[in-house]
Amino acid sequence: MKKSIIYIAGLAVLFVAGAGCKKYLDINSDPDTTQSPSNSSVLPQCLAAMATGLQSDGGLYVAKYTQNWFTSASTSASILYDQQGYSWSGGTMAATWTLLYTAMGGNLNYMIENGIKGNTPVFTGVALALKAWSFQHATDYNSDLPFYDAFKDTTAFHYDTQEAIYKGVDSLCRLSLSYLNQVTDPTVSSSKLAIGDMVYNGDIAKWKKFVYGVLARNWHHQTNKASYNADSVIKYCDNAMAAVTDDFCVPFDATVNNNSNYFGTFRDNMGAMRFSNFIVKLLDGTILSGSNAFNNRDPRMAFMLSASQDTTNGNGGYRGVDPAQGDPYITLTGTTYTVGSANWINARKRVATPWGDSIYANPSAAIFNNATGKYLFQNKAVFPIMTYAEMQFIKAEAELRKADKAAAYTAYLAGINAHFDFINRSYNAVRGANNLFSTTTLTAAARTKYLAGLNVKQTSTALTLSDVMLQKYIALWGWGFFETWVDLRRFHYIDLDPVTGTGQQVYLGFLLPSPLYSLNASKPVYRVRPHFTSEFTYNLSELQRLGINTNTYHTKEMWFSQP
Amino acid sequence: MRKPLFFLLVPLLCISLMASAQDKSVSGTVLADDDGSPLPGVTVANQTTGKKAQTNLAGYYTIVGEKGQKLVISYVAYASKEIIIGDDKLINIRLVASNKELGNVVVTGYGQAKSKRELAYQAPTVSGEDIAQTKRSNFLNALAGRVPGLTVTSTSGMPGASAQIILRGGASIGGNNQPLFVVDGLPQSNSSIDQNDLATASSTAVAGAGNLSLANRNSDYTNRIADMNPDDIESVVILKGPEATALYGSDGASGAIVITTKKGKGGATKITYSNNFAISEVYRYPQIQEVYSRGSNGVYDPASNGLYGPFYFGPKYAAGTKFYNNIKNFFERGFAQQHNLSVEAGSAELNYRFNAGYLDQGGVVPNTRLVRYNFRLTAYAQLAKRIKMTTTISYTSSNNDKAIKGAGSFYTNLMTYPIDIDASNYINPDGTRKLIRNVALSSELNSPFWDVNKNKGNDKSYNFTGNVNISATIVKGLTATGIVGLSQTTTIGSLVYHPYSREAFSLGGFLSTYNLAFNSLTSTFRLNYNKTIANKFTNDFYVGGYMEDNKVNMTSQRGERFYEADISSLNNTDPTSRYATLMQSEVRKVRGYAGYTFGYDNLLYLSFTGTREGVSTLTSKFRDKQPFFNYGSASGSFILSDLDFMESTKKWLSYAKLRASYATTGKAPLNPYVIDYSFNSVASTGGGYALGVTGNNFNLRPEISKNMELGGELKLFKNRIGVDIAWFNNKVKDNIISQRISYASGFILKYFNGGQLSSKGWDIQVTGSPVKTKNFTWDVVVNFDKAKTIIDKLPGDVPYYYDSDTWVFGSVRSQVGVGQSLANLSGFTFMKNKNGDLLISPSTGLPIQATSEYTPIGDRQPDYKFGLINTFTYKDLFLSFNLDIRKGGDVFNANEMMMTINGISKRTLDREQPRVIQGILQDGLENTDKPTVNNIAITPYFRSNYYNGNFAESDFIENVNWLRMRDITLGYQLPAKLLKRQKVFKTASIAITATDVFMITNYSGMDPNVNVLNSSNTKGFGGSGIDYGAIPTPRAINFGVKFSF
Repeated sequence: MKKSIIYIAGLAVLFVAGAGCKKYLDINSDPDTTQSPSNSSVLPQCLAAMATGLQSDGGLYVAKYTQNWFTSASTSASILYDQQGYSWSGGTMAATWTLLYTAMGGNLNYMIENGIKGNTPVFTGVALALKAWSFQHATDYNSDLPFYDAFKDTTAFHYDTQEAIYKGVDSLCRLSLSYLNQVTDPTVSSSKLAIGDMVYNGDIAKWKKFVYGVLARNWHHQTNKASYNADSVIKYCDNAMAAVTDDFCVPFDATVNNNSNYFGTFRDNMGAMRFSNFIVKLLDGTILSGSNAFNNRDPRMAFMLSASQDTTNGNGGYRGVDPAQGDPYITLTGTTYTVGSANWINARKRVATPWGDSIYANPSAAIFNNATGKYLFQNKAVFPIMTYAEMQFIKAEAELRKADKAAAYTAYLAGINAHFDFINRSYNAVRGANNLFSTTTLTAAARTKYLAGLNVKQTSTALTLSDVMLQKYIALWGWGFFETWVDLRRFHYIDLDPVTGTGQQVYLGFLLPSPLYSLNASKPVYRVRPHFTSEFTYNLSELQRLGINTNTYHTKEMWFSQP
Repeated sequence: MRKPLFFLLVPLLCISLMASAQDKSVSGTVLADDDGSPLPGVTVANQTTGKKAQTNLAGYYTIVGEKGQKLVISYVAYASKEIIIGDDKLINIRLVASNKELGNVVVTGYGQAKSKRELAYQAPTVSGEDIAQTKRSNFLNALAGRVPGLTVTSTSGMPGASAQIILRGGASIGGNNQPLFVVDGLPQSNSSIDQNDLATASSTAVAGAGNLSLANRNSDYTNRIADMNPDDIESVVILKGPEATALYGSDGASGAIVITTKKGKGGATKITYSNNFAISEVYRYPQIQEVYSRGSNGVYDPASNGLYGPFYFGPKYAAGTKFYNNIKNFFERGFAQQHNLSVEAGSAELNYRFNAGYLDQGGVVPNTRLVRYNFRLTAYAQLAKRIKMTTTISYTSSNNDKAIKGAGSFYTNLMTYPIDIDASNYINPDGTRKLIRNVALSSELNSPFWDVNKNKGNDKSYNFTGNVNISATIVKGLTATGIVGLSQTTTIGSLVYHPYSREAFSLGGFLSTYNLAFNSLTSTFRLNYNKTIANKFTNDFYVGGYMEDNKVNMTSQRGERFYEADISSLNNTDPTSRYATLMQSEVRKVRGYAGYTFGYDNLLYLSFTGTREGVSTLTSKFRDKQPFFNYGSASGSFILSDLDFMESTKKWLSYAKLRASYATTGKAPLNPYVIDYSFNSVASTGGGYALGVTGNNFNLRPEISKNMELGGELKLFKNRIGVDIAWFNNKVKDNIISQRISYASGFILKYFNGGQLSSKGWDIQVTGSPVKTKNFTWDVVVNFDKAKTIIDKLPGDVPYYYDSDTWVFGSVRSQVGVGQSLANLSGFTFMKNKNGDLLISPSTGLPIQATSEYTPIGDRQPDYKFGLINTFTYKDLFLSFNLDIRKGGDVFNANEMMMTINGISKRTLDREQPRVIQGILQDGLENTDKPTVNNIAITPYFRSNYYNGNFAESDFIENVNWLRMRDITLGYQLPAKLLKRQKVFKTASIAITATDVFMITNYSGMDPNVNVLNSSNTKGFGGSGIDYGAIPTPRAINFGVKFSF
């Protein structure tokens, strides 16, 4: 009897004492979803997000600013971006903001911290490289944004100037290189990195090339500044990608929606996009050679664009649209193209979708058919972020600005060849991605013929800035929307050649939309407002300070494009 | 509880009588009036001398007393009795069980009983009898109006619906404001399924041809406390203020509802059987216009259609058009039956109570039903002379057939269904869905009949709880108590959308199933010690510990593309469409608590408590976090009327008490895993993990609330009138909320310790017995409350916090900013000029919606509420009713707004009346001194967009008053004389109860007491006061008998 009483009392006392036991409470870790994943598990999403982010803001909006393609319809809602306008709401034009801060931001910081803690500098280096890239991309898109305040445990975030962010990106690149150079066990580090690195498969040397590529972009964007240093740019280009196998390409598994190409048939985002007449004319010879005669046609055209049924239009059936005009025959759906049937003449003139020749509607929306699509518009095609060709064109421009025409010419030819190689490359090594060509590669004969033809300058002395920029436009078409936009803005879209003195517009044949969007005050677009949902309510004071609320903010020139 | 309670009462109430002279004492036995069993532990107090005694196990007492002195005999759940000592020294007393007066003892934290005299806060009590008498399947709904400071909002009128309870004004900006439920001394989970955790939403993120984006509120999930059989409840004590917070910390910050279940009694075996048969029906219907046909701009067009169904802006129906009353035809009469059988048997040392309950409740909506079995066994044993043990085992099995609620469900579709078409004709002979317009199945809303016959939800729940309560008297004055409780719930649920329904047509059918296992282990151990010094100074100490371990494991699956259209099984879905998720969580809590109450001469009590609590949700794997925090309370009560000089007022002022209490509390984050990184698995190429949209916060610390209550109790005219007044002021700071924030933080939402709010108000309870004669008594209880919770601060400089789940119709959402009420609604209004005149578009002649800002448009907090409970007893007949009165408080009538947009609302009947909207043209001059007055005439008949082109939600906010008869009962107890003639029945009674009998209100909709959300996803003020797509509680008429053998 007494014993049991003592027992109960003792138990009670024990319990009270036990209440102090912190260990008992230390169970606050999610048993299903790890709260401390390895860097290899966090890296894939960061890489995948890059592609989807660029494709969303790029494909839907910036591709129209840069006239890669336009909308198929001419209704006022659809032509907003054709006219270089904007709409400011919710998630419109906001993928970059989300990419920078939520999709990559915190995850990269986690990898950086984890890499330092776990003494795996390779991850810290890679994460810093991606962070540098993301800020470079975002400032080129949004201009001022929180850089130093970003990710802090606070509720108000100060916006830094683009100049500050450019310097910050430069520092991040250097820091990244220093970490990548700290790797003392390349084999071990490389195999660790390879687990999550679906882009370079753990190749540290290629990651360094990517960092130099970011540096090249960062320094080269400042051509209008007195401080522009062509030699540095050239050096960074030389350290960057040296072959198409160095290209930074994000693959897609294409088994479910979220791992499929945003531009592919499954996700069905390109259904309303139609090639611009600008790219059609660049490829059919009209702009570069002065005529779209058969011999002047770029052999890449058939690999990049889709032809319509009507092959009598002078370039073999490749059709495009002009800004805000839409496809005049868009409403002719379900028409037969049989000669003699109703409306067949006009029906055959419709502009094809990017998914294939004579295809005017998505052949397999929401269905996994990885044989559908063309070029970059297949479910399982890669999405490039940065290529060897781009680096060569940057170098060519820098050399021209240095007045070293011979070196410029070499880079120019290398750039063109690199883009041919880009199309011909086997992408199987990049996580089993589809090739960009459908069945056969571009033949050597076609390439030789093109290089010897009127589209390509035959001597270094004949080389103009336009040649470089237009070839770069072709090489970046369909993926490099943001770099192309930087280039266009550097030349204020329609600047006359400031370097090689041709007296002609750098972007020959490029016409600004007319009229421009009603709220543009007749000025072209230069920047995009920050994420509406994120900033309008929760960072309003900064928006007011910078005048982001004004109707014409998007036409305010960028720091980088100003002298 | 009764017998163990005795041992807890001893230290609290015992005043030694040893010194008294035997010759001046009186003695006797206290018996229960109904069965004559002896009552142990009854307090017998000599009011003249202030001395007290307790009855022993045989019900025997002895106390010092002389002729002419007054004895007060009181016991929990029995009416107290007063007796003037006469010549006889032997006084036997019979106590009558009472459902109104629960005696002088109140059960508070961790099952401790406290004398009412020493309570320093308001603790209103509702008897189980009153709750059970309403015959509501979810007993929470029976509490409405019975207690001041309690607000219940049922989430729908369907069987198995959950209920949202808020005590006082609420204490959390964006967290849970539901109170803690304590059953027999241990907290019990009141969780319900959070649809967010299910694999319901078919997002294109993973394979799937279409996209069925299910809001997390279209299916209701019963809250688990509703599994309790009302027939098992002895009493419910509502702890609203400092007591709850001071004792239960993290759990009690929003108050506590303390339930004591019925226990067995020693003595003669008692068998009680009761039953109840009920009919429920809808008696308030949506009011729709029956004049104008489908179409737009006055032109007939049967295909005219919008987001919420057909538009009714066509010409008048042709004379002789046959109309169908689809709404009335749809609702059914719901039949319900309940049976309860309880057995009480045993001796004073060993007894038990067993109760079996069966409920079968059919709903007013076709195919809705709740079937519930309850079993509860409570056994009491005296293990040794000084050791008592009470064991309870309870099992509930429920099966709930549900209909889908909210947007696009039967209810909203009923409102917009054409009255010239018979909605009950919903299916074609080949099993496909009948369409009104010749469009794709995915483009037309379901017929309401289709919805309830083909799209269904079902939950089966198996809830097992058990607890053991051991108490021992170690030495005189020192008792030890230990309670260990176990709770295990398994819920298996499903939600199916038929392949031919609008929602799932593109998916080829949609099925979501889930399996939830909830396991909880709780225990508390406590030592109580009391010592009375010099007969005047009482000292009560207690020290105890508490621990809790709650585990949740939920797997959910979904599948699409049914092979056989009418079979809803995962095996009937395309394997490539199947998807599964797992959610597990575990939360542990420990508390060490201690208290001390000092009493002086039964006159003054001072109490102090302190608790140290540790919660696992504060710990981190990566940072050194302190999971422990401290809080405490100080309170005092002072019985003014017992002072000597008050003797003269005794004639009219029987009792007066002043009380004050102040308590702090800490509260850890409600959800686990918010301190460390919050990763999600991703479906993008390469898979892996990415940080989620809601950011963790390594720096979270407990939120702190400071709770003050001042008040008093008065009893007047020989206890004929009682008044209990409480004023409260509750301040919460460092409120933990997941706040929307700039993405530059790295997240879309992030946990912060930033909110601050204060809640102030009054809770008053007046009890009275206006008439008290031998045969006739009239008792009244009036409850009054008034509360207002204001947001003082939000994290950083963010302008507002909103709960996106409440954003169900238009732009209205539960959103709070600094200086606003917690019950605030924000939405869009029409644009105005600087003088406040309505701006009119010069091109349309219509007002212009101001869409740039969410402006406050309503405050759902009522100005005040009244509950009025009257009980009349005439001999063996009694009549009792509960009137619930509410003044003020805004309701968003989204049903009406939807009907207006569709032209089916009666508001649109004046459409042929040309009008010029009073306002100022927005022509550039609107803010000048000479604005242009609008002169554009409109005839809405020709301009449908008068109703659906430009609208502002603020037009559909109504300030609502109501008076509703919550329940009324007429009962008859067969007279004892009559029963004496036979030997089978000891007692017999019959009763008729009607619930939700009528409502008088200025509200234009069906019922303003609705909730657009479920109880599981109520954050902050939640979805009450947003009337959209949820049917109100129907009227029910119950008839039942009760026998005891």
